[in-house]
Amino acid sequence: MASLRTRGYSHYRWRTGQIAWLLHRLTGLALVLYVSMHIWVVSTLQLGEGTFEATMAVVQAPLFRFLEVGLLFCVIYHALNGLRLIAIDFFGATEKHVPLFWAVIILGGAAWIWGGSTMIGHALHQLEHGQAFFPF
Amino acid sequence: MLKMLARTGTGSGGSNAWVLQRISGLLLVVALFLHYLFLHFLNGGDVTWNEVTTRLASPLFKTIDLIFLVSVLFHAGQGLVINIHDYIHRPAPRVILVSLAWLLMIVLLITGTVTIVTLEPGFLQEMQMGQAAGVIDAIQSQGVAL
Amino acid sequence: MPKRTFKIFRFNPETDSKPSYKTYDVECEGWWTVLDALNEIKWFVDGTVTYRRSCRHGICGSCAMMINGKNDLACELQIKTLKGTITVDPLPGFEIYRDLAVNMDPFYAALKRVKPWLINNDPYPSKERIQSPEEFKLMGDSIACILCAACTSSCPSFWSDEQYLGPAALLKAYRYTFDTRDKGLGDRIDALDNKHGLWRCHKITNCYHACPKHLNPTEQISKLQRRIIEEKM
Repeated sequence: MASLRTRGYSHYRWRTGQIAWLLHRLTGLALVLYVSMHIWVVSTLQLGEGTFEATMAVVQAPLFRFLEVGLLFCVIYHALNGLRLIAIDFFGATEKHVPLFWAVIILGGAAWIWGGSTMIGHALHQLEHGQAFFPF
Repeated sequence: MLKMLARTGTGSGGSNAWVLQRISGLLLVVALFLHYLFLHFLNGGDVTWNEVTTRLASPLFKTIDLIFLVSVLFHAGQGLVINIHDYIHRPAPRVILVSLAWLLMIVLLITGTVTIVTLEPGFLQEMQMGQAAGVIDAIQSQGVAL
Repeated sequence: MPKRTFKIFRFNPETDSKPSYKTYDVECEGWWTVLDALNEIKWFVDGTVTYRRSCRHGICGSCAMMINGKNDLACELQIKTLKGTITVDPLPGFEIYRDLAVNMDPFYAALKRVKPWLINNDPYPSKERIQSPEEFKLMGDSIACILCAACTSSCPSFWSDEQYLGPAALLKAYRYTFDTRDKGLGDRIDALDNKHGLWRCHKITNCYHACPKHLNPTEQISKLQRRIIEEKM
């Protein structure tokens, strides 16, 4: 009988608010994983210039620059939707939550395209100069 | 009335965490925007040893980065706890998972704090006295690349 | 007389091992609601279809169901606003008694936990407790809730946590907290300031879109959250 309780996720029609919430949750979890790795990587600073530069050479390779475009999506979406949530929590914006979501997508999309293309530009620059795509 | 007074400030139900999640979130929107601007877009896309150590030598930047670190780890940890509370209801697994989440955050906090704090201001003095030849070379080569 | 196809969720725990859908083709009048069609099916086609209904004009809250993937009152939802095959499911998130009738106990238990009655232990005034029109407006639409459970059963936080108070109970708590004649926040605060209370609301807004009376639980829950934080400071 317990399984019959969960028909909501599979059968209820997904609307803007629920999609926004799911994406917020997924990007948040992705960011937790990323931040954990990032703090560990930056901590290699302590091990001296050599180790740091070696680590940086790996994580600034073209492969990672492309992965960072995905990371940028997570950061931008989570931040902007977070602002939308604050508008709902503190500024009574519930009735406008759908247009606000589109504002998040449009502004965020523009920022993502601008930032992402800069990153891809760096990657292509690196590839032109003979750097390997996979740094391993 | 007395019951209400007894409860003020306890924040035991989750109200404090809720507010702090929003405050840390706002802080992070600003901090991450600047973080990306200075470390990814305005510096030609490459993060170097010199840049980071020069910046982290300053107590001002150490403080800013520490506040940034604490905000990120609180926001991340609280985010994990929100998810755990949403889906895990039996006390035993819930308490274990929540403890693991905060344990991870504490480990990351220690790692990050040590990194930020142990970069010595002596590095800055060496630069000023022009005695670290390797540093001058590095700066010059960076200048050439620019 | 348009002919419409209805796919109705069927499950009898006493005889079925798992649920199924049964399809009925019904000659409908153009002005019919989903409830009219259900009645047609039950009275003239298949008497075993089980559902709750009473007033048939949108005030008792008995006939709330999930129709084409969205919660609504069957007696208010006109079939002409629905396209294609009309799929009728029970409210999600509740144990199913039979077909479209669900166990509403968790819903009523949540309501009871917020103490949905006026709490004021001051000595009775000689006349009624006066409330100005402006003070009355503070409660907003929260007084209009018909307790149909469309909102609570549309909430993913409720699906994942049966102990969560849900939008309807929280709306009721809002109604009394913002009633200027009420002094019971201290009695309600334990139920509200709780991991199964206010803080499970993540502004998913399914409740706002599901409410057949066009109430806005999300908005009122936000206001209640701010009120509780003010109390805590």
